[in-house]
Amino acid sequence: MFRNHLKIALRQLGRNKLFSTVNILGLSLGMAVVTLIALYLHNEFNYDRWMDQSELTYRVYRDWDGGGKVIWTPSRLAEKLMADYPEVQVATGLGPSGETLLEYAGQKRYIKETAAVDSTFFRTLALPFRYGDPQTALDQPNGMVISRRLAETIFGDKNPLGEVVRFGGEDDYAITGVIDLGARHSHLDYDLYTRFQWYADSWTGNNRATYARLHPQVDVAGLEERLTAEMTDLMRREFLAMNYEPNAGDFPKWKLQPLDKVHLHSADFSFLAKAGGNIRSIYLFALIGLLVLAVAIVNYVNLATARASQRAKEVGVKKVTGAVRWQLTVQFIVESILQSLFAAAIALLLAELLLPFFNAVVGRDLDVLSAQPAWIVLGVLGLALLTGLLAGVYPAFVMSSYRPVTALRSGFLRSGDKGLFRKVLVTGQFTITIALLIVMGFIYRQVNFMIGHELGFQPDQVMLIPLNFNSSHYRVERLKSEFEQIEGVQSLTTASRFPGQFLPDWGVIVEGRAEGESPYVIFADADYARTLDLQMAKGRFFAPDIAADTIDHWVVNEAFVRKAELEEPLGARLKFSADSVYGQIIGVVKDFHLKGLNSEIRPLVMHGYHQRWYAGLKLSTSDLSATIAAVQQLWKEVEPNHPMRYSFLDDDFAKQYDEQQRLGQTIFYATLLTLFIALLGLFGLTAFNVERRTREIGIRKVLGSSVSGIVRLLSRDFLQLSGLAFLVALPVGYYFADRWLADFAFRTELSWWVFALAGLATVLVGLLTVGLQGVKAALADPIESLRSE
Amino acid sequence: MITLSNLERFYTNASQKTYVLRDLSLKIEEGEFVTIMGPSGAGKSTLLNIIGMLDQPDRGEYHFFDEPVHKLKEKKRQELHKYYMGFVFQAYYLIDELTVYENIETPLLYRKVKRSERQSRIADILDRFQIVAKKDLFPHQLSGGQQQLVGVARAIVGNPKLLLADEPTGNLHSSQGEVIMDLFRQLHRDGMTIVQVTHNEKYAQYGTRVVELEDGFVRQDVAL
Repeated sequence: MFRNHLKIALRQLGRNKLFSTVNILGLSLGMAVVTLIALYLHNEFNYDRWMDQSELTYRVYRDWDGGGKVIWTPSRLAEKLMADYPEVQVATGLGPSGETLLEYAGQKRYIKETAAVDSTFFRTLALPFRYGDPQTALDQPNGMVISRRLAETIFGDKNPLGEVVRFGGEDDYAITGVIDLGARHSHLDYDLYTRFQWYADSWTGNNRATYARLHPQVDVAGLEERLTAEMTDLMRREFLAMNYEPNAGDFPKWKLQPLDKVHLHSADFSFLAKAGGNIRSIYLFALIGLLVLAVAIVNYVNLATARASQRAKEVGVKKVTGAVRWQLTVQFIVESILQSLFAAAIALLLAELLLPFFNAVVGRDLDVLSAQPAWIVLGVLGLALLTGLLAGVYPAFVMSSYRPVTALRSGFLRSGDKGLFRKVLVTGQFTITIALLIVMGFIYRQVNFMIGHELGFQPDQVMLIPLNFNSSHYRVERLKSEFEQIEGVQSLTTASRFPGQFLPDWGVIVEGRAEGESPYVIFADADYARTLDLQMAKGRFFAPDIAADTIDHWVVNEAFVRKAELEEPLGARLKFSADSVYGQIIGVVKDFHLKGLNSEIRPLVMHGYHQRWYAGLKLSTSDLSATIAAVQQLWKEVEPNHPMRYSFLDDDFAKQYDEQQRLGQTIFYATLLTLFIALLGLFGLTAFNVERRTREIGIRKVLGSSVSGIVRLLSRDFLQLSGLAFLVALPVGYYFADRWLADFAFRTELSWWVFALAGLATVLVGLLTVGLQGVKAALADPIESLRSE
Repeated sequence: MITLSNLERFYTNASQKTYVLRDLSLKIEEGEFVTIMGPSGAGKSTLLNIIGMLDQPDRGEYHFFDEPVHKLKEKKRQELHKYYMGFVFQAYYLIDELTVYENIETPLLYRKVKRSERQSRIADILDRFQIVAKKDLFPHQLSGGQQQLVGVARAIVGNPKLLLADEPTGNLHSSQGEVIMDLFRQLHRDGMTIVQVTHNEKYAQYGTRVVELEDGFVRQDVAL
């Protein structure tokens, strides 16, 4: 019996090549997308979870009731946890140490992902070692643990334990361990770990992340409460020692985040070392996968029900020869599962082909087959069964219900059903497509809006050179006039930070106020304003020849004036909470965008204190490479042991929109796929209609209908359906676009033409799909089509 | 074998009843070869479908042997249909995707006949109908007469008690038609009960009895 089903199914497939292709192609695209997304989701959900005792491991964070969450904690928290909290097995600190120079055998390379940790780090977090012993790797202060990735770049295949490298241009370290994550993922994916070289003996300064592994069955909430109480007490004492009277807003709650939540549930943390996962994008991807697959399944259902009447004879005959309904239902489901199995095979191939593309979009390094082939194949097989079942069950139900007497009546073949259900499904498909197009349109507009928006400073041709040592800026300043003499260099500044970079916020006190402020802080020299073309609202910027400007003068932005409610900002006096001396505000700079346009312009204070991490050069040149080469040449006198690195401020600033751009891309591809699959279905349905109405078309032509008349006849249905789809998609698209845009402080308006364009584009390509076949049918010789009857 | 008493079958259209069969009573004994005749719309096919349990009367009683068919559940009716009836159609109704062999095999599959027995039964029938050479062809590769031979083979391969044929020769020209009718005569002589619907006076003569319908009544019932 089953063989009989298979035979009929295969022969059906072979006989109806067009419809089989439409079905299988659509399903395989849908399943390829689902496979990729499942791979991505599997990957995202398994971050860190695989680690030994991960369920007992937590990351400490500070929770400012509604004011955000921060992962940075005091230097000595890990030590304290181990000493004073019996619930804690072991704890450790981690701080990213930024891009740092590594030298080995005369070769110099900057390593981007470096971290400093406590000696207990690899005892707390069970990252798997390829070489070395995690228990002891960092027992010596000059031990260094590197990733397998980095080990292979530097040392090739050999075991690098004991090799000595120079790190940061000054100190020698011995390799004591090599980490190999294999195919597993962790938010702790640094290339290089060394021990902390310093500790801040403070409970109010927060500079590292703290991880702790607890004993089993610890009351986490109770631990959090005790920690909060004790930390509040320690902080209060320290504030008072600084002559600062703290208020309730200065004390956060101290909490523990489970390790397996770190990757996906940290989007609302103010700044994170490395995570980049986001539960929202998980939902988005899952939704997209389901939508694309649903559209493909709808194609199958539509074509199958449309063509059901052609199977009526078979159903009738089988029932007359003794088949009962369920046997036929099974037969038709076997047929749909067979098609989805074919589709699954193609889907695997497609997934493998599309993977590099997909990886670029999601920013991951996923692998279809090499990771866990059994899991993937089983998963895809399961998916195929499910898809086949979903696609086949309704048509099977319809077809197997035919009564033999009616099914075998000669008129049945031509009549078919009214197709209301099909119309609803087609409308649904195009609603999804148009709504996706609308949302995509607004994402693109918003990204373009942000990139093209006036920032309040000039980011173009501003070259940024990171300094490896804070002290380097003294040498830069000594060579300032020489730099500025280089052809194409207009000005040079050194500063702690530039717009778009991570900006620290410091506690600042306005003289005479009880409550402190916490604005962003930038330390900069007098040429910062000129280099960035900042505009002054009041007063003046720092001047190179006024000594006090670099000691205790302040420049603030308008947002700070508003926030601190300074009636007369010039002359008002400020100090950092931890300082004792006040200095006066000499200028107010007009607000400029410190961060991407997704955030408001927050209060900023600028100070001349000598903390500088970057040099910035404003260039004005047609021969960029010559200017850069000249700068590079001179830079050897600044940091002779460190090769110069550089980037451009406009690029750096635009990087903040990477996530939005990636989202835009994701939706773009999803839309393209959905549209393509929907069109594929439309193509199939139209082909079927043309086939069914060949005689009618022939008669109409003989009676004198024009080609355009026939095309109109065939497109009328689609026009109505897509019009309806457009109307439904309007509010849906509006809702999602509006919700997405709400995240941005500065946003493009919801212009009507984006909606119109999305609808128009979809209807046009749909019409083209229908129309082309209509033209073909209309041009056919009517005598030919009538003869066959 | 078949006892029909006071059968009625009607359609309701805009509150108006259109009768297809009215107050029809008929008895058919085992071993008969009955021909049902009558003008178009007389209710011939409907009667045949009711006898074949593909359709139900709106009123009246139908006894098949001792089973009161009009009182049976759908499932039981399907069982009776499956094991006792063979059907032959005017338009052959072979399954396009199956070969001659597979088409004939279909009823046996639904009767859960074992593979080896299926093979021998089909081989036997192919032989009897002299279509062994055609067994791997698809229906569209056969002439109409050959297709109808396959249709008859499929109808009787399950050894039904009753063969129902709805204008079996309607689509065939006369020489092919005679082949089919000769086959029917042979089947009848071997003991098969046959009820056929036809317009053809000549083919009616192959049977043992002619029932003539008109407007849903039995107008004439003649034994030959």
